[in-house]
Amino acid sequence: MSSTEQGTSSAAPAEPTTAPESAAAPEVPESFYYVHGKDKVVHKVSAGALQHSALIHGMISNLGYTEEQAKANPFPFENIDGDILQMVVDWCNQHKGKPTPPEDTNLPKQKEKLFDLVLAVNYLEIKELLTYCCKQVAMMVKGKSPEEIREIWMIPTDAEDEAAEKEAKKRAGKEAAGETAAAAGDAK
Amino acid sequence: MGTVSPNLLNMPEVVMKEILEKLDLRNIVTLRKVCKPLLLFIDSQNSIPELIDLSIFVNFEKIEVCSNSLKNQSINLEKIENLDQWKSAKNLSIDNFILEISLEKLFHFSFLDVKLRNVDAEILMDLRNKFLESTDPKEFIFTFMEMKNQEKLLEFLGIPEILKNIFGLESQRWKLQYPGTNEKFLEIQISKNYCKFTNIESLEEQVRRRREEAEQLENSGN
Repeated sequence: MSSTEQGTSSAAPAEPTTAPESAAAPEVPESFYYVHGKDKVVHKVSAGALQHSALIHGMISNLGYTEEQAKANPFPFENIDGDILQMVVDWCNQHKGKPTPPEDTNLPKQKEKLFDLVLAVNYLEIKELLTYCCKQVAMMVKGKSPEEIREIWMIPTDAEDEAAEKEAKKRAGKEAAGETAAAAGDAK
Repeated sequence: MGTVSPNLLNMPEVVMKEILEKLDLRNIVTLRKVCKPLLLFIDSQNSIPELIDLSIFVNFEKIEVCSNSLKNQSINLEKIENLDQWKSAKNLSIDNFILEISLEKLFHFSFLDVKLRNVDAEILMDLRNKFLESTDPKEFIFTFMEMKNQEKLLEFLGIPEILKNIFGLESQRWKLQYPGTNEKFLEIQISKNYCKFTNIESLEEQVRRRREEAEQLENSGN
């Protein structure tokens, strides 16, 4: 969270606060980039932290932005909710330049949040965080009965699924018939 | 991404694969029962071939593993060795698969019918001792691909009786009497790739023994 700007809701980011540097900070000033999610809140993140994301790392390498250009052009991730992007940025900052521990207990326990985090992390190609998330999902499956897994992960039974499919086909058939009748009426 | 329903079926394929890697065999088998799409996805994964066409029957006392299409593939039981069902089961029958496990880890079963990659004559002696600990019915039948320390069998068990089956295949047989009994025997039969330990008297043996007893009685009466 240390190098994240919160509440900056414009495409052009406000003057960013400087991220606290560790005692072992390199002499060469670190470059920063900017990302925003669906909520348009811009997060300032160091290149070191962003290295966790193969997608963003690739974008940085290809674009060759200067500091100014990076500030003026935050990477837009419109498909990621603001709070989820915040979690991702926090994780990247916390694990910047550090070997990742075997366990990560700070992941969300709510399945909706975890699910969105998995999709975001998979999209951003953050391998280590994806591994933690998958482990967490696996933990939510372990020792559960098929019925419990269905309930937790909102999975319909095969019978419910078939019934829903039949219903959808029926509805589509009715709609198609209605449109044909309307078209025939127009033709008259 | 918040618009996608948090349903396990909506996870990207690469994510589902990674989740499966973190689950043990038991949980994957459960997951297969959740719904048809999950069953089809799991069965399509080459990384878990043991699940394809693999039937595992587990009840209170019995574990059976068989497959109609897989033959002589290695099966690693590490993931199920620690299950309570494994520890409490009395019967283990695994058809078509070669077990990558030490025979010692199977000693607790009463009835065993499996294929092993390796056996060690020294472990067979431990098995003999295990059999002689109790007269409860126990039978181990297993084939093996290699036997270590085979030359020590005579040293451990003494001179065997040589049997020949109808195909001319020779096997060695030892009959060891249970301490403190007259009628209870442990029979050990070993051929090139086959081994049988049993303390259950075959019907043929029973008939032979009773005939001998009757003859003795008759002779003593005369």
